[in-house]
Amino acid sequence: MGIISTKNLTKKFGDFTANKEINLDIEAGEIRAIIGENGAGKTTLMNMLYGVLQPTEGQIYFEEKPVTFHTPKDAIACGLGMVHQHFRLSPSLTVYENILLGVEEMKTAKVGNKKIRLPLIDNKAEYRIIDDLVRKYNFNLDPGSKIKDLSVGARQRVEILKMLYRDVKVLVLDEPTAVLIPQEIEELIKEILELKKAGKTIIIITHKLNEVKMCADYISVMRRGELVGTVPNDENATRESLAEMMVGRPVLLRVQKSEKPVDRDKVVYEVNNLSARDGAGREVVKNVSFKIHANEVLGVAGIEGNGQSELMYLLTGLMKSTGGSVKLNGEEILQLHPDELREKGIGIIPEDRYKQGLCLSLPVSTNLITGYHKQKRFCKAGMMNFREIRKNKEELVKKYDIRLSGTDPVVSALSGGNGQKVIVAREFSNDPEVLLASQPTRGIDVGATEFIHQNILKMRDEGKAVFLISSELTEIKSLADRIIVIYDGEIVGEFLEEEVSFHELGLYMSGAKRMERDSEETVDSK
Amino acid sequence: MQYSTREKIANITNKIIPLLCAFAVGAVFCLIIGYNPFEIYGLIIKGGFGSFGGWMYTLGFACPIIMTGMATAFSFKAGVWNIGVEGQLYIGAYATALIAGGYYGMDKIPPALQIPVALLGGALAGMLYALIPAILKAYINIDVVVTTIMFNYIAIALTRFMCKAFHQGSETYDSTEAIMETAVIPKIMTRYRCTYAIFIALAIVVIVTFIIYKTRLGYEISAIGRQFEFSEAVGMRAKKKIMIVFAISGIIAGLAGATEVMGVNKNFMPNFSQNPGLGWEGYFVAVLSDNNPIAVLIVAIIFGGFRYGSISAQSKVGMPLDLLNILKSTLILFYAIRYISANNIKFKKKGTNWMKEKSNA
Amino acid sequence: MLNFITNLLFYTIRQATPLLLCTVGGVFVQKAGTMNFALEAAINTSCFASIVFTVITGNPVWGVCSAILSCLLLNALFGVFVVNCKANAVIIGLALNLLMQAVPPYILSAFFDSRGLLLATDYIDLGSVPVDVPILRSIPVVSDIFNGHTPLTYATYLIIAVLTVVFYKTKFGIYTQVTGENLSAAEAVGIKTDHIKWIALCISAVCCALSGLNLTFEQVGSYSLDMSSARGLICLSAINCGRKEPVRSCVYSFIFGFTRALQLMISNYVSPDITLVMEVVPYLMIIIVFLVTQIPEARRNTMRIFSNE
Repeated sequence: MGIISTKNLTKKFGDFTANKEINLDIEAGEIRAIIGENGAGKTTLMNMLYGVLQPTEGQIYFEEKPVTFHTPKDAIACGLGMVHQHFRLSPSLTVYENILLGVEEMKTAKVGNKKIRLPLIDNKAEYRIIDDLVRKYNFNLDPGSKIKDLSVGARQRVEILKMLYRDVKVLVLDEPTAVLIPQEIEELIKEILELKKAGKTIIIITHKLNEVKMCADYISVMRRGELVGTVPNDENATRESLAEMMVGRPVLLRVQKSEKPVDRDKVVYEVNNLSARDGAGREVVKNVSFKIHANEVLGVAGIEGNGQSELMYLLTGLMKSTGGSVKLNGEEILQLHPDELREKGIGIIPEDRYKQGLCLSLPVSTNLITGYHKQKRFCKAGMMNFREIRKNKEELVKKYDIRLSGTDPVVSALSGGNGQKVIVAREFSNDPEVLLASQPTRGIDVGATEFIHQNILKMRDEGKAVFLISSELTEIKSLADRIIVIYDGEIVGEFLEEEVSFHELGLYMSGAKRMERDSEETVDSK
Repeated sequence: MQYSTREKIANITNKIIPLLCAFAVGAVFCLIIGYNPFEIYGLIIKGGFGSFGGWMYTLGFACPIIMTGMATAFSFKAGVWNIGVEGQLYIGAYATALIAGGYYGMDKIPPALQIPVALLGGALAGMLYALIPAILKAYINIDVVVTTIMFNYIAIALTRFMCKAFHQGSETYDSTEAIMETAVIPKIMTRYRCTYAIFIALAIVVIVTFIIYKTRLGYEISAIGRQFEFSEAVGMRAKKKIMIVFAISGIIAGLAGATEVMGVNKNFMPNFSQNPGLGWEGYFVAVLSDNNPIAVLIVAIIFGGFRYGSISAQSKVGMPLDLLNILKSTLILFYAIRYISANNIKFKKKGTNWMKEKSNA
Repeated sequence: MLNFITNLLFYTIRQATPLLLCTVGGVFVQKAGTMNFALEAAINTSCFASIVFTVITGNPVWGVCSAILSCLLLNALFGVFVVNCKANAVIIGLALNLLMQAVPPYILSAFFDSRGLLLATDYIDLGSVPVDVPILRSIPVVSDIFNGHTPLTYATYLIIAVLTVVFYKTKFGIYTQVTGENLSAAEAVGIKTDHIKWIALCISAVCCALSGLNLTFEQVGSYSLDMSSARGLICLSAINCGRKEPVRSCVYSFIFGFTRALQLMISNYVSPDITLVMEVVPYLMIIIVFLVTQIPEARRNTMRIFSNE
C-alpha cells in the first residue's frame, strides 16, 4: 500500500451517489492525476480525503494506517494539504498573515528567566519566517503585501506556501491551471517537479489533458462517481483514449468548422474606443475597439481578470462607460439597458451562469422567457400568459434537448450543462443579430459543450456575428475566425485564427508581447 | 408548482413545531405569574372566535393588520424589507385626520366625496413617505431595514409633535380634532368594532394577489426578490421596481392608517398604534405567512382574534395583554428555522438536536 | 456661551458612553459576518434585569450580575438560532427586539403594579456615582468636561483600547476578520467559525450589559419602557458606517452621542413643544451620516446594477 489509499470509499447525498466504491492507491513521491468531467465526483473524493466531507462507507488509509479526518485541520496535521481552485485567502490580510493563519507566532515576554507567551501576535517574526520560506523555495513573492494586490498566479503561490509551511507530505492541487496562462502553467509544472524531487507526493485534479500528459506519473480516470481505471502516463495513454475513458464514448476534441467564409463587407457590430473605470478609479477597460462581421466569430483571449468581465458588463449595459461607442448595424447602442439590447436583437450569455444567467428558484418555463418576457406573445397589457410560457417551454426543451426531471422543475435541480442549455435556448430561440457570449461552456460536461459549440457555429453560418470570451484557449481556437487578446484592459493583439499558435497567444496574454494597433488598420483589411 | 408528499409533510411539520414551541414558552410565562395556561389559551380562542360578536370584533381588529401585513409581505416578496410600515401608517393616518377633520377647507367638498378623498390622501401620504427610503436604497444603496426603522421613529415623533403643538382635539390627551361625521366609515353593526373598511382590506388582498400572480410586475418582483443580480442582468431595472414596490407598500400602509382613523378612532392620536404597533403586527403576519397573500389574510384574522381574545381574557382574569406579544415574537423566533427539509425527512444533524428533544418532550 | 459648550461636551461624553460600549462589542459580531439587530434587545434586557434584580434582592451587585447573565442568555438565544440553526439573522434579531419589548411590561404589570416604570433609587445612590479625578479636578475648563463622569465612562475608553488590540493583534481578532471576509479560508485551516461567532456574541453581550448598566445604575436609576430608545440600532448604524472597524465605528458612535447631547441641551432652552420635535434629531442624524458616508461610495460605483445582494 502506498502513502495514501482508499478502500470502497462511498459518498451519498440523499439518494444521489456522488462517489461509489473508490479504491485508490498512491505511492509516495508520485505525481498522480485524477481526471474526469465536471460532476464526475473528483471534488467529492478530494473533500473526503481532506476531511471536509465524511464518507458514507469505506475507509481511508494514510501511510498504511486507517485514518478519519473530521476537519481539514486533521488532514493537514497528518500531512495532507490541499490547494483549492477557489483560493481560501482573506483579501485584506497580508501574505504572511494568510500563510500563518491558524499557526500564528505569538510574542513572548521574559519575566526573570521564565518565558511567558503573550496573547499578542508577533508580526515581525511572522514576516521573517515567511521571508525565509519564500527564499527556500525560490518563489517570487513579497510576504508583506496584501492579498488583494496580488495577481492570480501569486495567490496560488501563497496557497502552495501555506501548505508547504505546514510541512505536508501529500499536496492536492484542485484544478491548478484553470486561471493560469500557458507560461505560468509551464512554471507551475516546473514547481511541481521540484516538489516531487523534494520528496512530496502530488495529486492533481483536473479535466485538462494537456498538463496531465506533461507531468503525471499515473492517471486515474473518474466517470459518474466511479473510478474507471488507472493508467501509467506513457505513449498508450493518448489524449483521445483518456477523453474516451472520461466520457465513456469517442469524442470530437475539435468541432468541425464550416467552410463558409466571413462576410468582410458587412460589419454587424462595431466597438470604438470603449473605456471604463472600476470602483477604485482604475481604468479596467482601455480604448477597446473591434469589429465583428456577418458570418464571423470573434474570440477574446486573455487571462481571467484582465478586463474581460468588465468588457462584457459594458457591452451588456451593466456598467457605466467613460467613453467610446458601440454600434449595431450603424446604430448607436452604447449604455442601453439589457432589456433594450435584447429588443434590438442582441443575445447575451453572461459569464456567471448562476448569478446573472438563471434564476435558480424559478422554474425552467419562466427562466426560458426572462429578458424576453415583455414580448406580446408572453405578456399582453401587463398580464402574463402562462399557457403560452408553458408551450414555449415544451418547444424549446424538445428543440434544445434539455433534460428535465419532472414537467417543470426549478433550475437549481438541473445539472450545469442543462442549465447552460436553458440560457442558450432562451437566447438562440429569439434569433439575435449578434450573440455576446462569455465563458459559454465553463464547468459543463463534454456532451453539452459539443452541443453548444455546434449551435454557436450554426449561428455563425446563418450570417450572425458572435462575440466570444473564454478562458479556455482551445475553445477560442476551435470556434473563432479571428482572435483578439486582452491584457490589462487593453487589446494587445489581433490575429486570424489560422495564423497564430498557442504559444504566441500565451506571450500576448501574459503581456510579454504586444502589437501596435491602429484602429483603422486591423487584420481584416488585409 | 407541485409539491411532493415529502415536501408537504416537511412544510406542515415546519409550521407545527414553532406553534407548539411558542405556546410552550407562553405557558411558562403564564405559570410564572400563576395562571393556568390552558385556561388562558382557552379564553383567548373562545373570546376571539367563540361567538358572532367575537368574530365581528376579531374582523375589526384584523382589518388594519390585513393591510399592514399585505404592505410588508409585498415588499418582502421583492426582497426589499419595508420594516417602515409603522411609520407610513402614522403618516397616512395623520394626513387622513387632517383631510377628514375638515382642515384646509376640506369640509367644503361634497360629503359623498369626503371618504374617497380622505382615503386617497392617506394613501398618497403613505406612499410619499415610503418613497424616501426607497430612493435612498435605489440611488445611494443605503440598507432599507435600518432606514425604515429610523423613519418609523421619525414619523411617530413628528406626528406627536404636531398633535401637541398644533391640534388640541381633546382636553385630556393629545390628538387632532374629531373628523367630520360625513367622513366616518360606518360600522357594519353599530355594536361591534368591524367597519366597512374590511371590504377595502379584502379588495387589497385580491388586488395584490392578482398583481403577484398574474401580472408582469408580479413576475418581475418575484424574480427580483429571489435573485437580485439575475433580474438586473436580464434588464428588469430593479431600481425602478424597488420604488414601485415601496410606493405600493406605502399606499397600502397609508390606507391602513386612514381606515383606522376614519372607522375606529375618529381622530388621530399619536399612540393609536402601539404595543407593538400595527406595522409590527404586519411584520409578524408577513413573516409567518411566507409572504403569501392568502396566508396573510388568514394569519391576520387569527391575529385579530388573538387580540380581541386577549382583551376579553384581560377583562375576565386580568391577564396582561403583553402575553400576546410574547407569544407572537416567540412564534416568529421559532418559525425562522427549518426543522426538517424535504430531501431527508429526518432531523438535520448537529445544532437542531436540542430542538428534537424539545418537541418530543 | 463657554458654559454651554463645556456642558455640551460633558453631556456628549455622558451620552456617548452607552453607545460606545455597545458599538465596540457589536463590531466583533458584525465583522464575523452576522447581522445582529438584537443589540437593541440586549441593551433593553440589561436595563430591565439590572433594575428588577436590584429591587428584588435589594443589592445592586446582584443587579450587575443578572444584567450580564441575562445579556449572555439573550445572545446565546441569538447564537443558537442564527449560528447553529442558520435562521435568518434579521428576522431573529427583530423578533428578539420585539420579545424584549413585551417581556418587561408583562413582568412589571404582574409583580410591580406599574406597567411602564420601576424605580430603584432606594438602592442606587446616583449622587455617589461620579468620580472626582484628582489631577483633572484642578485644570479649569478641562475639569468641567472630563471630570465627574461615572466609573464606567472612564472604563469605556479602556475597554475600547483593549478590544481594538484584540481585534488587530490577537488570534481571535484575526480569525474574526477572516471568518467575515472568507469563511472557507477560515474553515480550510481548521478555524471553527461557529466558535468564533459565539465568542464574538459573548463579547458583545458583556459590552451591551455594561452599556445598559451605565444607563440604569449611573444615569437614571430606574427602568422605564423603551429606555434603550433605539440605541442598539444607532450602534448598528455606527458599525456599518464605520466599515466594521472598531475605532472608526466608535467615532461614529461618538457623533451620535454628540447629537443626543445637543438635543438634550437645546431642549433646556426651548418650549416643551419644540422639545418633542427635537426627538427626531438623533434619528435624522443617522440618515444624514448614512448619506455622507454612502454618497461618495455610490459615486465611485461604476456598476449600473446592484450586485452581491
